[in-house]
Amino acid sequence: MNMEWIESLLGYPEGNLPEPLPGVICSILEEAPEHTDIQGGYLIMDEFEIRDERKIQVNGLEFHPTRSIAHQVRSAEKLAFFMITAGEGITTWSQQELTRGDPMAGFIIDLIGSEIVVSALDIMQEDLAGKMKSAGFNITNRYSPGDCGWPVTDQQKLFALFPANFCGITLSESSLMHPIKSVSGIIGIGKHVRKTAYACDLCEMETCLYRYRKTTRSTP
Amino acid sequence: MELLEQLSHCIEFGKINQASPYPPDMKGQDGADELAKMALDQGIGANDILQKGLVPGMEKVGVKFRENKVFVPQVLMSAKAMNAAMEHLKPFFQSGEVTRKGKFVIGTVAGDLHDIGKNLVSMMIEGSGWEIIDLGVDVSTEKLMETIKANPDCVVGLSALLTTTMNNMADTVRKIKAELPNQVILVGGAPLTDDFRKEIGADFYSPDPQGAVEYLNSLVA
Repeated sequence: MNMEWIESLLGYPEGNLPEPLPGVICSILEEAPEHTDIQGGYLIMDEFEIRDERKIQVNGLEFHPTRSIAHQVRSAEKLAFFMITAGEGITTWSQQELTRGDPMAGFIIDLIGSEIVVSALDIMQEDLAGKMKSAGFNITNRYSPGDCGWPVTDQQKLFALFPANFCGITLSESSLMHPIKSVSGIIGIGKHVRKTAYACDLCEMETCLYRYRKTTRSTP
Repeated sequence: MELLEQLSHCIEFGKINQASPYPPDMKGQDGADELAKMALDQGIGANDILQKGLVPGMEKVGVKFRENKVFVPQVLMSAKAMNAAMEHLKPFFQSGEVTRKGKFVIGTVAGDLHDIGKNLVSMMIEGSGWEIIDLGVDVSTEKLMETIKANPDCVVGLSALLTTTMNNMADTVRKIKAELPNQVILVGGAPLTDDFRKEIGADFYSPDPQGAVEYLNSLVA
């Protein structure tokens, strides 16, 4: 995570970050580790079934991702279910700044908090990829309830696969994770699966904000 | 520059107070905080300060944001400048000397926690002279209905950023309209379109906050 990446996330053309943003961002990036408590993990399920081209049955639970997501994992031999969090501290810090009357800092901390959990997930995904590669397997892109038309309510089923309070992450009745900067989802594993540059080609959401969003990192 | 024009300039460029180093080319100058107080001390009416000082400044910010000439951090600084000035006008709102254009009840729908867009819309609508009742994120239909009934004649704004919580938005709009068919509802959020707005029976959709401001103001024009 660097200044150029944060600049692009904020929407500014390259090299056009106005004062005092560069100093504010640097200061936040330096302090962020003190407010972060990254925890995460994954479960690998060897047995699952895809039904009706879009339902995934695992351990007696039935998930309803979109057809495009189910298509991506249909050739998988295993499914990894993951959960990861940046911890509560980064959100608390953001809210403190907002309450203290510094909305710019609060917003940037919140943004960096999101990037922290995504970056941590990149590392966890690379770890999984490395372990699977040594066993002769590839992995797919990762997919999360709430993205690409996958009902966020399927989080309830995903959480049922993990021990309660796994890595300190809980789920509300309305399927929101706490801490807020948390991500959960699935990754397909198999000899005949692959990651795609953009899963967007297969998605029905033509007007999605994130459609074909360019990143220099793994596709979230 | 005339005082209210200066105040508007401070709002437009996010100059909160004299101590604030932002923007760099206004360092050391009085900000919205000082100028609002100065205007009141000079006998300028609170309503004029709002309508001729604050609102024009926020309107310029809204247009520039729509045109990608400024981005979220700058809008936040403008909103903070506006809040600093509004602190001086609070007694006049409470006494009724300054009246708001109306009430705007806003929230992110159930199952969704995204709030940056909602907060930007709230700031700009408040800067345009409306009273904001912000219910936060993950707002149930029941909570919305309770707030609408407690604030008759309010306008409602709903936000969703997940494609899947758009279904919750549709359900919420349907339930509100079933009980209160004349309730005006605006919707917004990155995955939304005007076609979706029509499909779910909401009254207005805007891809940017300034559009919401202009629509609300057209209701009271």
